[in-house]
Amino acid sequence: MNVEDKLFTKVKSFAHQELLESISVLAISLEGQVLGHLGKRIELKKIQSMGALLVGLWQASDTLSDLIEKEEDQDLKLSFQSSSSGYYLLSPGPNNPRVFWAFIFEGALNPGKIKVLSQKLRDHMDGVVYLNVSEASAGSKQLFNNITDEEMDKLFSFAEV
Amino acid sequence: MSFVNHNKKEVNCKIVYYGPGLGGKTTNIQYVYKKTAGDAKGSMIKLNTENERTLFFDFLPLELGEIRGYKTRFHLYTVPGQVFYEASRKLVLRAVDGLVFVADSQLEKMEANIESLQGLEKNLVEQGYDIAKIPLVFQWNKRDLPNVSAPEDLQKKLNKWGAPSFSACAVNGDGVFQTLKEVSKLVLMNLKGGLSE
Repeated sequence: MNVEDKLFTKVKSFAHQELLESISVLAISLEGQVLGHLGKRIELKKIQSMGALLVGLWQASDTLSDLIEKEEDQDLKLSFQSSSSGYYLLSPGPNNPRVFWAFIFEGALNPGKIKVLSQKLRDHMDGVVYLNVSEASAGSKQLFNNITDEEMDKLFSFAEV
Repeated sequence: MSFVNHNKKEVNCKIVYYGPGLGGKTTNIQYVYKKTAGDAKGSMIKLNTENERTLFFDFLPLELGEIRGYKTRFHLYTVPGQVFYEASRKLVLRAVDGLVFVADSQLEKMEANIESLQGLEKNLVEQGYDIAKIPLVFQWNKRDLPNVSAPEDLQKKLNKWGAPSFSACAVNGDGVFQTLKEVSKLVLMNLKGGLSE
């Protein structure tokens, strides 16, 4: 089962259809790479950019909070919203310490309800969906040896130059 | 740091363009964006001040295609070049896989290049990286201007690691893809066998 299927199964078990249609869920690595997403409201082309922006925001907020006094090990949240649309970013859970969960909602009648649901979903998914995104170990062998110039030319054939 | 997903046959890497203010970092990735076919690029993000200076970062996701059966995805970032954005530069450098140092070739910019490079070394050390071990490419930009240092001088004063270097004029695209191709190759060859989903 891929990440999207796992997310979908879990989200469906929690929320009714109407609510599902107003939210998108993104699982994002600490480095800003989107590992899985759910919801039809976000254009696929924009997803990676959203991941980079959301993690950038989180990192900037976290660095900013280091400048003021804060308690350690708090379950932090970051939100930006109007009365019906916005996003909600939650810190990683204990089982997936390298994964942020972002909930993006539009046209929601009750954003408060989505906030509560988001937290529940994050906790539940963290317990069930394990996203193994540990970095490659320094000691492991190289994935590609001796890449040729021809292979690189082929890789860059997308460029219109 | 790069991730390898063997199940999906996918690698994800982060390349950061670093260098002094107004050196041409944003111009590099704008040119890449302009010359990249629609399916291979995502939305380009620019977080700018009102006068078009980079405030936090520029970002361009690229899907390069396959190499030995693995789909490769590169995320290109630039840092803000202005001296007082040090905190933002540190954030963008997190989890970097490869670096392009875009030096401004103009004679009067040598000090700014040196200062920026020293900042890069320091910021990398703070995050546990050794500049000598990270894929790094130098770009001597703005070669079209009249008052420029010789590439040998730039090489001698900036590139003490003997990293690959390219002359460039990013505004018209000269050297832009050569630089990106070289750093991408170094990053891919530096990838260690990863973990799957």
